[in-house]
Amino acid sequence: MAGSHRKSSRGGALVQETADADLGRDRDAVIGASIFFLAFYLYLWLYVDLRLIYHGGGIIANFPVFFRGWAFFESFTSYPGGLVEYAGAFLAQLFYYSWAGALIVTLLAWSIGLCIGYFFRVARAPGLRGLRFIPAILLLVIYSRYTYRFTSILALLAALSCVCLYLKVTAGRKLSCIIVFGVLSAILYYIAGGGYLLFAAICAIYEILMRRRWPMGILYLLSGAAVPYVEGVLIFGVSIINAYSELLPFSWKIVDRVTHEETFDVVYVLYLLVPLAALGLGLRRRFLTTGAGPAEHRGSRAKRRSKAKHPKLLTRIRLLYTGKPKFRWIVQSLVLLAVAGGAVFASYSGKRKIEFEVVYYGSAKMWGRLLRSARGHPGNHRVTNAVNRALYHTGRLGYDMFSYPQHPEGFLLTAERFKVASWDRFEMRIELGLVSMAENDLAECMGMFGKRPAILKGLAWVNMVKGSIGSARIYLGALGKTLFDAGWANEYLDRLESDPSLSTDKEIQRLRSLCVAKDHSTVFSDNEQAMLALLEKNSTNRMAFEYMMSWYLLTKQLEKFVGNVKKLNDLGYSEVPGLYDEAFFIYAYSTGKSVELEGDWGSPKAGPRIEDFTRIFKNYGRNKDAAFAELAKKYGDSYLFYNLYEFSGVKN
Amino acid sequence: MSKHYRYLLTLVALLCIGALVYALCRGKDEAPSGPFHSVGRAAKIHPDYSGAVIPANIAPLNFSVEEAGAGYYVKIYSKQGPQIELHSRSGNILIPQNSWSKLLKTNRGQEVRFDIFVKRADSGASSQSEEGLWSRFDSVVNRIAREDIDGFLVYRRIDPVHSTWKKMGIYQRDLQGFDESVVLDNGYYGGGCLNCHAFCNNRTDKMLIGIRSPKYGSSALLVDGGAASKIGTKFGYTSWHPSGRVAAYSINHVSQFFHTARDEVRDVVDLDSLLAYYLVETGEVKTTPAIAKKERLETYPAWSPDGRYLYFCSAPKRWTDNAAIPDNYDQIKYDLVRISYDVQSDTWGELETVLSAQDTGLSILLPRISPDGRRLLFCMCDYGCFPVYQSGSDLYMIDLTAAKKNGRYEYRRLGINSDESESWHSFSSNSRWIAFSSKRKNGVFTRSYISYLDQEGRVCKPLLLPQKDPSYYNSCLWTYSVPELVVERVKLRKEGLGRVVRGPAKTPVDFPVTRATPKAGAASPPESSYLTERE
Repeated sequence: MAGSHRKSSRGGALVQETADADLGRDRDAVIGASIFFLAFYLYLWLYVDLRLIYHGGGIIANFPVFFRGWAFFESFTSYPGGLVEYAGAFLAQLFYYSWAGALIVTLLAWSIGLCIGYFFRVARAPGLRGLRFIPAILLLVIYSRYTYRFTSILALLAALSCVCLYLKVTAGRKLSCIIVFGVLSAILYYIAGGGYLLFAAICAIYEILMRRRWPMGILYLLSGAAVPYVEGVLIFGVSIINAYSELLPFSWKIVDRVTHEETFDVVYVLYLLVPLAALGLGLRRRFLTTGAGPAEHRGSRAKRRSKAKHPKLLTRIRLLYTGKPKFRWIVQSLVLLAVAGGAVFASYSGKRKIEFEVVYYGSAKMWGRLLRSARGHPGNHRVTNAVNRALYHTGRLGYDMFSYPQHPEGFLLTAERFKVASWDRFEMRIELGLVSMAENDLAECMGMFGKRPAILKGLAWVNMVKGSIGSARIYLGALGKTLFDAGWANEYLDRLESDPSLSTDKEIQRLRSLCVAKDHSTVFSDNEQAMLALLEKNSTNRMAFEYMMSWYLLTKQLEKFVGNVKKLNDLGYSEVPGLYDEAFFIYAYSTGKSVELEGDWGSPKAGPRIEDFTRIFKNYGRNKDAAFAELAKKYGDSYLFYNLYEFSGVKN
Repeated sequence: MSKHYRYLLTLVALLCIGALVYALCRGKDEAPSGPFHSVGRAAKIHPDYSGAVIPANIAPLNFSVEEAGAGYYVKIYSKQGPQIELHSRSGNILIPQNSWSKLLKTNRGQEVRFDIFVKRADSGASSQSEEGLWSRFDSVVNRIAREDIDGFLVYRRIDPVHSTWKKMGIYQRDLQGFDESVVLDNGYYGGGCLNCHAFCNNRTDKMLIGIRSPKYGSSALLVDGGAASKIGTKFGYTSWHPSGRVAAYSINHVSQFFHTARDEVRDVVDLDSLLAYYLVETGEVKTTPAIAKKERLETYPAWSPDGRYLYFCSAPKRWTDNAAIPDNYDQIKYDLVRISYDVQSDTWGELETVLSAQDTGLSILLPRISPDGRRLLFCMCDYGCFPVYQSGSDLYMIDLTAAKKNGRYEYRRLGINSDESESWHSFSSNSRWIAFSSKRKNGVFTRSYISYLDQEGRVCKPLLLPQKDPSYYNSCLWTYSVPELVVERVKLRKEGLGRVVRGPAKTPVDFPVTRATPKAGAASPPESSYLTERE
């Protein structure tokens, strides 16, 4: 009895120790996961800045729109997958605030991780529970690349949640399993569309390989093929293509709207992670291990086998790893951080972020931040266009435009290849007075990017400027149903009630005074003609003037440039911009004609720069290639340099 | 009973009690009692249905009362049958469909009246006033036509696109209610374009839809009886011969361009076009020199109801370069012509001018003839081939019976036109109703309207296609174009139609002309990923 008591108390202590150890492990795991997800959240909020994805920058074509009201919701109820799409559309709007968007994505990653962790716990594969961090890492990759896949991933979460629910409630008989599977199938397919296929596949794998119930597994696979047809095609009448692909990453709706294909692999990995891991686990158990004992026993046998094989050092490390939970926790955490950090490092695109930033700051009229961001970009037409706009608004276009990479094609984005990518243009065109052209851009954007609030706002604005109040009201009406721009829309709707022609709105009146009056196709395609038409309508259009002069500089049409300098007087300039001085010098040098400006403009401020530039060039025997390094270093931001080399923005 | 069930039961009970308390607190809406303050004018309602002649089989004309007030009461009644009484706090008047339908059907040919009362917003302060709480407006009066309208309206729904779009589709609307369903949308074949839906004799058992798909190519989707098939070429504007044996269609080389200083930015020009026809029984596509002249642009075919004439529009083509917008695009004006045809022998007669652009000074487009053969309805606008983009486009009518008698085609402008574009008109099978597209009210968004055409050819005030939510059009970004009245629903399932578009089987077309400019042996230019489209 005493012996038995001793034994029992020893056993009790052992149980207590194990429980304590488990508790400690759980606590460590919770702490580790919390740190990981906190870092995840902060990275998305502060570094990636998810509001850039909300804005989309004319790059993300698949970002959803969301309107308040029953009618909008109802449109999502008529097809399988609509509810997840609706939920995704709503949650995506929260990206408007970077902190809220980051929170949503963090919760999404955390929830998927929970589901995966639960799955492998039920599957008695605790070793694979580490996979629960993989989705979060893949999400980091997706967002570091500034792509949008939220809805597909939400469908994945719905499918995994149902898998967990299935596992939770189907420990019993086959019939109850089938009933639960059937009910979940019908519901999940309606909610998550093609995401259901993942659920069916995982359940089938689980039944076949884990529970060794082949007939049920086969039944589930067959239902995976049948449910979309019956529910999707026959009941909801959707196309067979959509029935099997709605919300999946390979759906034509998604593929057609995605501009950067590299993230595809990532979403596929995300989708295939659980089924492949389950498949691998099941096959390993089925074919690589003998006996059907509990997994932990098999694990022990494997340990014994490996012990015999491994040399001493490895065995020690292994013992240290398995025997010291703290050490193991530290190693696991470091590995996790290394993998996450590596994935972020490999996928993060700073250049891409800058492209989003310049468009975002341009829309928000944050010129200083735009110019600071653009400094880090090697230059492309989109950035160039945004930079020039910012320079104009800060009064620096005539001084600093060649501090940045410039190319005539990027100046007004009128080349044929920008026919569709017109997001970058419409604000500039509105400001210039090319309102009909801006309307065209906005309509193309609506076709390409959907009824995004920024587009509706733009369309409402151009219609108000044009005096098309009826259509402006409709755009404002639609905008009034969005989450974050409704205030602006309702304010203008109220204003239109009291002042239908907006005659008291100074900005509208100002823009109306700028609107081009010449209706000719050349205005659309020819930058010079567009600016001339604007100045013909309103000779005080300073932006049109500066853009025209810049265009002449870029295209080296100095005769025309000089021919228009007298407008400096009319437009009230107090000094001749530095780049104009340089252009005068080049003109005078190449034609032998001096440029006479009316009035007192003082001596050219660019004089010493011109002299030094000329001296350096002469020092190299007027050899362009030889002089390049020194000139680029000192005058890579000058028109002198651009005129000589036909590129700019190279000053160190 | 488990704990969970107890909680659930408690929750349900609480909800029921809450609903009961709400219903009791809300009180019963009572009809206003006099004396009333008589306003002396009709109430402002939206949409403005007042004065229109309405079909007895139209959906409830839900509207909102745009008068300030704390409550609204509307009484709808006619000569016979029970009246409908409606209360509203918001001003939105949603009419129950069954009562409405019953009221209209028992009062064909009679007036239906809407008495509108508005509870004064300052009712608390003026409760002592002699005039009472309620203002009474003059009745809104409509007349119920004796003749029904065809039961369904088929239209294309699309954003006001320029050249890029996501979603578009052909939809059918049950006019007796608010049910709208997809006939086919571009989601069934992976995106692309569909347009030019055409029906034979206002029935849906013979239907053609033009399809352009970057993935599955261009085709015409033919529904004949209960089966759908694909014809290996796209049909443009199409018109069925009343026998159902022939479909005439246009082949248009469309080029889109944009205006820099005009309310409507978009414009198109047919750089080339011709007419061809499809023989349903043999699957042949043919043309004849008179309808495919190289020096003319032919478009918009329309058969006369007796099948003896094909009416169409024709303009001189004064350029040779089919790649550039001609400088004088705004001088292109189409004549209205017709050519006789014998369907039995498949032979064509002589071409004759019905109405020339020189006489009208305008471009004549979109001829449609009423099924009774008495009226020819068409558009005229300043120039060009596409009235939807011309704010000056109006509807005109020719009395063909009178023309037959006196040999003169006299046209008149209809009183239902607005300052904006009117176009895409069609007749009901009984010739008493026309459906048309109009941009009135906004200039950008095309909406569908219905007008009653009486025996004498008078066209009554148009009725905006009613929607369940009276404020629907205030934020509706869709445009509704090519409204075609049909007597029955399109029966084939959308997935069935989509499968035909996606499938490889198609009727091959052995015809030298694949584009508007016949060039033997020349391949069609590839479709661009963003296809040029127009409403």
